[in-house]
Amino acid sequence: MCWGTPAIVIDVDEKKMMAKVDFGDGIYRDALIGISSDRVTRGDIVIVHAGVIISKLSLEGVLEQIAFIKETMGDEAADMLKPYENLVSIAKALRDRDNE
Amino acid sequence: MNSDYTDQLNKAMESIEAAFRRNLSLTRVIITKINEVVHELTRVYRYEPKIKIMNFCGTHEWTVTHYGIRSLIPSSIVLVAGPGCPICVTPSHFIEESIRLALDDITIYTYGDVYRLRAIRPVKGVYSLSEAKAHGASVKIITSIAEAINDARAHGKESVFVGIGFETVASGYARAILSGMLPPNLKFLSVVKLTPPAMKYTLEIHRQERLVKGVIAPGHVSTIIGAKAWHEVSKEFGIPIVVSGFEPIDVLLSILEILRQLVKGKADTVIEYKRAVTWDGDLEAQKMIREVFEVVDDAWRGIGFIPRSGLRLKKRFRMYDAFGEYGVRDVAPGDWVHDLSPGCRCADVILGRAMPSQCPLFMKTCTPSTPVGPCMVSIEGTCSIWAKHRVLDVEAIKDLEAIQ
Repeated sequence: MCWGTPAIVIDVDEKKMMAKVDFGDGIYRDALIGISSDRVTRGDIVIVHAGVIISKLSLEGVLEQIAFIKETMGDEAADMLKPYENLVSIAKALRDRDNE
Repeated sequence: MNSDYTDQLNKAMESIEAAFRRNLSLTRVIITKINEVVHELTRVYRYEPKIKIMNFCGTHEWTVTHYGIRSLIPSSIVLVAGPGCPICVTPSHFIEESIRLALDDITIYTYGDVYRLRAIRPVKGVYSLSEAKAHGASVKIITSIAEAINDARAHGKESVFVGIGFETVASGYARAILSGMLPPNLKFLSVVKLTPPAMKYTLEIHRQERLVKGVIAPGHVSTIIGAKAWHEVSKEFGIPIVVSGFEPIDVLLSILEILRQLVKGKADTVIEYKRAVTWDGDLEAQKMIREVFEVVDDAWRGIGFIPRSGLRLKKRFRMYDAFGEYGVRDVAPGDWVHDLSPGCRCADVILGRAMPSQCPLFMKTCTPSTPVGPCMVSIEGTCSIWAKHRVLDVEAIKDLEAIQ
């Protein structure tokens, strides 16, 4: 039972138990926060499974994944991974700008 | 947080996800590498002609079938399904008990797959919750427990939520119970199952023939329990286990990682799905599950009892427990009888002992519109996935390729 769908967190309730999420169709749906509630904030991309938030996609995780692909594939993959690295750097720059 | 940032960040993250699905050049390189490693394994290390890799989770089977991964990799690698489909393994007994409650005027909340699941024994002539609804019972299809909570609170009538699933949903259920979200008229029927005991059970079956050389482990279950849950399994059975994402590149990378470990003679648990899974998982989620549920020996449909593989509500939460409230009988080892229809090989399919096309009922009497076995019902059931993708025989596909 691993069918999960990425969604964006729109809002988290005061008790940090439920969140409103958008699966990209513009409809806000309730989702229970099944992971540490401190990890979930507005604007996060999370994975929702049967109405339960089960994970958060993190930039750090993506970077680790790129490192894993490089390790598995060797130098041949390095060029092909450039688009991912560019995306990550864009996302990081955005986050830094937001924190300023 | 400004909306400009959110929009751009979201676009960036979504692109990353899509990139694991549509990166043709990377796919080509991975497949070349897989071919090289398989060649090395068979020629240099004289591996048997077939290397079985188990994709434990139903959603991985969907990715493998939907993207035609079997046709991309060498025919010596046989990808077999595992028991990672909760709809397929929920005993018929609990479907029968849910039908009984529905016919007793209790509103039943259930996922769409469970609604169509066919019991082995009828209850007052009724074989499924969908048939119960046709007889006038109140059976409501929901996509989450939150929907059931909102609806039950609104109508105030006696209701039961059929809590099917693996660890993935267990923390959400635990959160709902702990926070007192359930209204007094809504009870919870916990038939949640645990995946590591099922993986051990399955691998034990294959231990003799030693054909299963690696496992693609469930990515989303591992977001909760962590990759650490599989470490003991990989050590005990001496096979590589790779926690994988669900995009085709994730699955291909996981296959490559398993093969590379075989060349090196390793048997490690490795995370491929690093963007969502950590080694330790989510500790708060694990704590919530431990707080609300107790671990019990549980029955798996068509398979029988697997020790310490199920979750039931602890006694202190009995005010929410449908077992006590409505006298739902739990299944005991002495009571359990084989609960698949004659001829149905669903259990063999989910234990990796047969392909759907080897079942005598597959696409004959058992089809997606008239499912006989549970594997033909769920979106994660191997037979249903094969049927909907018109995969009727894997060997035939390979033969076709050879001709081309």
